[in-house]
Amino acid sequence: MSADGPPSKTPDDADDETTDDPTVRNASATEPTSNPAGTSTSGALAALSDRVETRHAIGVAAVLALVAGLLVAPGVYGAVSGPDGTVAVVEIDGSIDSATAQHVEDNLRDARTNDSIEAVVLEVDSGGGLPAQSERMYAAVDRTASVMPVFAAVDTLGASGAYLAIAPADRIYVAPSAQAVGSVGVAGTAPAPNGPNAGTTGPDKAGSDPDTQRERRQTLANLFLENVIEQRGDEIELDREAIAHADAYLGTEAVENGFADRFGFVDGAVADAAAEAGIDDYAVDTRRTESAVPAGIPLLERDDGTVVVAGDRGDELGDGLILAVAPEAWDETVGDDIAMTSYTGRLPAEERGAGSTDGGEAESTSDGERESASGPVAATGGESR
Amino acid sequence: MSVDLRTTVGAFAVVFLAVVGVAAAGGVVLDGAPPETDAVSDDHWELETVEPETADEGGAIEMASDEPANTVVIHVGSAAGGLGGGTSILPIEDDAGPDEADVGTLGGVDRGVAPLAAALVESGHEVTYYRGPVSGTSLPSLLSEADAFVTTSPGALSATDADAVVSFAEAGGRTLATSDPGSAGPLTDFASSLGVYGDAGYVYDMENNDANYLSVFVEPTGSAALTEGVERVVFRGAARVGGADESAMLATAETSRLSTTREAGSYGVAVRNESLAVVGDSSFLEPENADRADNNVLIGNLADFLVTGENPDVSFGPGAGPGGAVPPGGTAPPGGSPTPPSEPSDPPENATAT
Repeated sequence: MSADGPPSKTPDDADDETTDDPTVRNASATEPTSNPAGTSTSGALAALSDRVETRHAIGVAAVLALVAGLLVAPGVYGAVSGPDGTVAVVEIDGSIDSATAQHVEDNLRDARTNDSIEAVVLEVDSGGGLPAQSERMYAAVDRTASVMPVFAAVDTLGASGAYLAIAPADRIYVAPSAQAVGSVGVAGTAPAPNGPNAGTTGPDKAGSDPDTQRERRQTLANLFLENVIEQRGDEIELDREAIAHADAYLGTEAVENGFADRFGFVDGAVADAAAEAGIDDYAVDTRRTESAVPAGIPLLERDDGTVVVAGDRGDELGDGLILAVAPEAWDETVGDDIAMTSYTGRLPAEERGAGSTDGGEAESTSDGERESASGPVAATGGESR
Repeated sequence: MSVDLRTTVGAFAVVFLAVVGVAAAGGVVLDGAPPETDAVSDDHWELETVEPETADEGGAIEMASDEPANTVVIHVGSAAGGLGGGTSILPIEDDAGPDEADVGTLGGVDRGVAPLAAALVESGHEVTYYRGPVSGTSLPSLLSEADAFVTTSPGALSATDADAVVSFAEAGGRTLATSDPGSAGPLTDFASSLGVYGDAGYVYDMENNDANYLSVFVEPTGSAALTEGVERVVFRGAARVGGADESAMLATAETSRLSTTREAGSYGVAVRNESLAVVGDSSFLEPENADRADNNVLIGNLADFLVTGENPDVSFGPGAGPGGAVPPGGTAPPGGSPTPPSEPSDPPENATAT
């Protein structure tokens, strides 16, 4: 199309010419000899008309560009100014059972697969629960800690099964007044022989013999101990036997003996985890335990529209299980029907309390004694003992 | 004007494929898989790593003595069992229904001493159980006919019964008392006049034990008849006991600790003072534990101890014959001398331990 240069155009062509090329306009205006006067005036008007239309087109284009820019700008602004990554805060709260383990596993898996999550903080207030579920969380924390910083922050309780779960964390923060950190051991009812029972198909169906019960309990305790030593053997300054005493330490003690790394709370842990992950500008995504009302319990809707829970939850763990539970959390885990009795087995209810007459027996034999000895000390009183 | 359809479609296809191709290639290049996580270390989960070491099982209870028939009175406390009660009960069900299975040697209050009783009977001796004053028979009347006495619950003896046992032991009647943690006071109350005391708390061992810190290994401190052939025994819950003169004949390992002080050291858990033997644990007599380590040897030695020696020359007064129910020193004021009628007995001549 450019083969025909503007100079070769005829004057008649100029009326139709809408190009902005100045050489074309100049050529038309500087050839009066070839154009009558009337024709010259109409050419000037046409040129003016061309300029108006050109400015209009530019204006429209500018407006369109502005609109398009306004549409794109927030995205660009967000991309430039938004957080560089996210720190996920995952809660570990209450008695550890399958729901707790699933909650932690799911959220840690999400943290590993979600590109925006750069670090995890575990917000811990649990006195333990079932050993296997604690191991599930242990494995999930260990796996996650291999790809991003995982810090744990304990307030009142981070003991027994909960301590097992957070042992693989890169760093453990505790509140100085935390009341139970550690408690590396398991507990359950004392081994006792089973009588004959025609309702079972084998002698061990109603329960193993006492020696086997004792050995399995110790095996579970050794697993727990090995896990803790595997993860924190270099940090904990106590020897194996001292750890196996299964004491639960105050936060300030835990930092001293290596069960925890430093004092701190969730916010500090989040900031440090972000720094560890190398993100200055971060968002926080808090993952609470999913439902306050657990599934599977009967709900009743009353006439006024409110929903009430019918009956007890009855979700306490069974007394036949061996539990990784700190004494501070025993009641909420198994209820107050089961007392941790002496080695000789369960005491009949009427005999409780009568057995510890000499006062030198360290093991509690009555509910009253146990509660007063193991209940968390209230922050407001201190008279509960 | 004609449109070249083929060219138009071709241009569309080229542009379309170029866009999709760039997107696909970009996805492959830019999209990383989830980060590779390290596998969770599981070497320390193997059973051989975490399985506790346990004591050997097996062995029969054998008595060496060929003594003629003796009568041994065994007191096992109340039916309650449990801490200080001497024997475990058998819980079959929780609160509802039968609380325990009392089917001969499988249950009941006598269960805890069944292996010892069986060994005695097997050697031709007679065993009589004493179940407390409610049984209708007085302990003094039983002891006046007996050669030896066993209690797994000294604290369950009434004051008069305890006095009678002390008199019996002072007269040379072989007496075995086993006591558990939590019964230090009653044991001292019972045995102090015979030179034996019980200590508060319990002994535990976190390092050398039979699958539980309470199940301590106990070894002889020297050579004695009661510990002959014993390398080590297992006590499921040991209380420290001591004597005025005698050193302990059985003691825990150096790695054990006393619960009250947490001090590591070897603690005496069995003493013998002439005709009285005191063991700070009753669990080793139970059927489940009798064949653990050398418990069977210890039980056999104790059975020999009970049936060996002179017949005790002890009298509990005129009412203490069979069927009699008058306690010893019944006319004496409370708190008086616990050994009124047996003064003539001379302990040294009865101390004929073999």
